[in-house]
Amino acid sequence: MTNTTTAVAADARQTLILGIGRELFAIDAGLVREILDPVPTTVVPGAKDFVPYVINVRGNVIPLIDLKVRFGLPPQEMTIDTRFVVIRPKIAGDWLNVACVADKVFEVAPLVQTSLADTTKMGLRLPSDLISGVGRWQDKVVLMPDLERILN
Amino acid sequence: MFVLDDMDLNFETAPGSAPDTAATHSETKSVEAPRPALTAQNTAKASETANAETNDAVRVQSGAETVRVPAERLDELMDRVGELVIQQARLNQLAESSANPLLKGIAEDIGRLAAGLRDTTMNIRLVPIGSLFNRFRRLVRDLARDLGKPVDLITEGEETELDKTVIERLADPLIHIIRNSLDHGIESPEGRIAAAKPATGRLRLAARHAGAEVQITVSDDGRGLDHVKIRQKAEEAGLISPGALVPESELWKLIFEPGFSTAKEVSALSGRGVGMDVAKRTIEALRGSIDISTQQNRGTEITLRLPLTLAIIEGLLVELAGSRYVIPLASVQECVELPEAQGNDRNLLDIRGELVPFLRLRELFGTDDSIEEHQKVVVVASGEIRVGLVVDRIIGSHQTVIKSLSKLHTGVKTFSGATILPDGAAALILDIPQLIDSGQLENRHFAQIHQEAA
Repeated sequence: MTNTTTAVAADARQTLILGIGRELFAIDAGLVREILDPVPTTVVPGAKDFVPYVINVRGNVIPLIDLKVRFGLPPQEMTIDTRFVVIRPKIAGDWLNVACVADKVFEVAPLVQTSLADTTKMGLRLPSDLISGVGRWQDKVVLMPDLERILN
Repeated sequence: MFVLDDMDLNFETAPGSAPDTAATHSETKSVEAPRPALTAQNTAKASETANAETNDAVRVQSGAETVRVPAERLDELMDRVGELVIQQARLNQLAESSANPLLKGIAEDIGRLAAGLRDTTMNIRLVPIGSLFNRFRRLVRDLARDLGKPVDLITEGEETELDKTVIERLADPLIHIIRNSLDHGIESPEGRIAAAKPATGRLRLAARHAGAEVQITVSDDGRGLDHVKIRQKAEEAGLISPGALVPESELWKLIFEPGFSTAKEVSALSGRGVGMDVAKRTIEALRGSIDISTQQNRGTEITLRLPLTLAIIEGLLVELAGSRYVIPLASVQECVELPEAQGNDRNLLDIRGELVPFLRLRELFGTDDSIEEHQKVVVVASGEIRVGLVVDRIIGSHQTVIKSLSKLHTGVKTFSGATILPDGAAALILDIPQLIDSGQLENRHFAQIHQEAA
């Protein structure tokens, strides 16, 4: 364990590794407020399809986003591993509280982020404009979502 | 917190009314100050105004005991109280299903305390509307001078208290209405004399409590709205078809349409056709309503109705396709059963001889169209328009702490906000004026919006 932490490059950032659909995503740990067990959701008729619900988080009503819809991944039923991750990204100059559905939350891990090369973009099979970078975690490819683009 | 303004105070003894105003005042503000020594300076005052000024006098006296607090702290307090009310409702629900008398007792006590705390906190945010009225004195004086129309401004009910935020947001709409009254309503001195009226015009600003609402009226004794001109203009703009029979009350409402102005020439003050529609929208955003009544050559009266507070409303909780929604109780008129025989071809309901159109919320929200038996209709009103909303079930009334929707949901116009139910789930609050406006939208259109969003 000590070996791996010392081996971490200086420019690594602490990120939360999430499993969403078949993909792994990493969100900057500084943006994560809390990780909740699923709570009752409320449908918002007429809302954009990737923000279909609102939930109550400590007395505040916040939107629940579904990254699977945004990335065109197949829908997935809630399982015992499903969590709601409350994040607070800065969107268009304002801090915004949103929760996002994660099919599994792994761990907080340092991640060295590299920007997307044109060649890797081709291999993603996902809308690459919504991804700001990639990294490696436990020998697997992890995507960094571009929250600003996703939510705007 | 009281705003000490530059208004001149003239005190006088008003033996009939002063003691009990002072008494009620010291009760509500728990100020044990003795009744202020009132000196008669102006004896020619009406007892009404004396009454208001006595109130002011008490305030000046208790000035040493007031505390200035930044507004954000009050907002924070209100948020906390809102959360407390939600948790208290949960506790109540738990206590009701429990057999423990001790728990029931505690839940009841906490309920009483929470309700008291909520009322007190709401009262802290209330500010007398006089602070706003006084701002208009100068406006009216300047306008009167610029227009060459002498005008007396009469204010009533300055002591009426309203939520701080409401007062702040009311300033602009009221300025528009006052400008309109002075510019279009009140005639020039010569015109007034010709119409056998005193040369000096009269503009009255009055505020009073009416239930959980505050009514603000702006009335002038000018020439009134000209229904020939309005009709002509409306026909030109295509708002009504030529020769159509339109009730006068509907005709007056047209002045709130965007771009509507009957002024022959555009002045610095008004006539540009912006203003009244903005005023109306602002008032509606405050969950208020605006009404107009006018009489040829007698004057025009514009009435604003506003809720006392923005933070908490009484709501009617309904269920629809498994979700719960809140309808503001202030706009609910009645609830009726949807007749079984009601076909799908016509969305009209016969309520005691009056035909009321209704909206099937299931269709509007694009939820599954399986028809629930024994559906209910909640008849809501916005202004004079009555519309029925078809829901599956009516759950009951609900103390609704309003939470705003996130920026991600700004495109959703059907809801004015959200709230948290006793079981911890969120529920959306229906925006009734918006819903009635969009009533014409069909399912098809709604589906289209869905596609665009995708």
